[in-house]
Amino acid sequence: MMVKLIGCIVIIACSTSGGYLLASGYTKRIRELRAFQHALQCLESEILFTLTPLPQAVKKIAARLDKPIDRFFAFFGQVLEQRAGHTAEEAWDMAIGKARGFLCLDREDLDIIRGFGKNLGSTDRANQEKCFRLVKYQLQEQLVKAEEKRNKNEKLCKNLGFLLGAALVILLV
Amino acid sequence: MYTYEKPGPAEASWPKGKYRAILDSVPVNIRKMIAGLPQRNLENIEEFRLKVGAPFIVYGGGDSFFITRDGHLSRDMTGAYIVTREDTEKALQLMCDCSIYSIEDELREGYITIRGGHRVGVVGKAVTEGGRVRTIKDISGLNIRVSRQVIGCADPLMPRILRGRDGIHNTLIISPPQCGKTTLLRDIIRQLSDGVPALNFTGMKVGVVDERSELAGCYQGVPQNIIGIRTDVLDACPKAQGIMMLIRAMSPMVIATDELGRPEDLMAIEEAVRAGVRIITTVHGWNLEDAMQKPVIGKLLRDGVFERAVVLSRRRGPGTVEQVIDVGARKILRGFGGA
Repeated sequence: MMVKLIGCIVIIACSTSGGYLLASGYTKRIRELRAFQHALQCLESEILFTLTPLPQAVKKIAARLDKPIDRFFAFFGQVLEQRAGHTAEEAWDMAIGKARGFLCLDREDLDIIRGFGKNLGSTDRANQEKCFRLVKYQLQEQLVKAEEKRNKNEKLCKNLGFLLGAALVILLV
Repeated sequence: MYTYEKPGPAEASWPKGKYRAILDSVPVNIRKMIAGLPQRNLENIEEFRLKVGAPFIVYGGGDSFFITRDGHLSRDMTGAYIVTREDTEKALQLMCDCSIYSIEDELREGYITIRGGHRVGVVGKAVTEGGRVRTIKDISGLNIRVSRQVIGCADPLMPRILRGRDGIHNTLIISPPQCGKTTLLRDIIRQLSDGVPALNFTGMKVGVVDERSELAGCYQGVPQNIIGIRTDVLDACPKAQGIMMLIRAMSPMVIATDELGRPEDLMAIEEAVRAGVRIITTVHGWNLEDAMQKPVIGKLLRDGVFERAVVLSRRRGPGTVEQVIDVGARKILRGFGGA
């Protein structure tokens, strides 16, 4: 009897925390989108107003950013500084590939960020300004979507985790 | 007893860092080709030319070669590497650290300066706005001109330029293109700035207006060439304006610029002379008579602003000093058989 009780508690605890974990992804995504907006804002002023070359600009902003987004920019800056023959676009793609492992952004977010990388540094000032405007607009839209999604799903995930666990327990008992 | 050994011409013109900068500025496939060339060939190369759809060509010592896919020099075009559009576009991005926006102004002039002080000429489709070039797009050709600093190339000339222990003659270097006038001027600047112990010359404050980033070879504001400890460089600054700025701000004793000739330069030089600043500059030309024909330089010569004229040629290689002329006395100072 004791064993059964402990088993039930373990199952419910696991499924509930699983639900919470899933739910926290929504909040993290929002936080990361905001962090990206902030990072690109910093990068924009470095590029448009002080005309700092990309490797220095990226290094500078990577030092001021919060986790985990700073790792993305630090890696991007490192690739640029190595001068191993990678263009900014290639380095940006490499950084996205690496960041996929530790960021909660979804595919659509990453596609937008990747699209921005295609023009980063490879055009004149006027064009860079347009690209920044576009990516900021796109990220803002993603942010609205992400918030809606969180409001809809966060509670659901948490409840569903607990309920699934409970259902499993009932079935097994 | 230890003696100080001057670096040989090869070492002086291809320090490792400089060589690195050229490799860094081209895509990986081309890097391999250049890195594969034997050192003795590399040392003679003056220009690397990348043109879309054409073979990869290098120029040096008045000769030209194709570079093959496996990194050899060849006179036969069949094995030559054909440059692609991707190569040139990528090279341009690498040259500016993937920051085209930061070289916009340079690009407008048709050239950029990369690390190591090398100059890269850029051609493509010019985008104009109100009759002025706004930028160049669809880059079709790049010409990497290897910056060569020949330390000591002005040695035989220095006694003719110096005047006493702390003065110099206003000097004009007259030279056809590709005869080493910039290289010579750079070494004169270095020696004036550092001083010449052998001639008991202590060194003076030199201001350089480096409109085309050729003399000091500044990359992001830092001179890549050795131009002396007392030298202040205004990089990428229009000459006339730069001369006035230096006089007001840095109290130079000598002002050096490359290729004088615009109408507004005349006033700036006259102002500098009035302020007691000495002048060293260069002009395109074949001889003194030729230089006299030029509007701005001609007037300065007739007004007696320049006291010495140095005429260069390529007769015995770049930097051959043909004549040193005392302009006031109209007398050729002899004693020069070459640089």
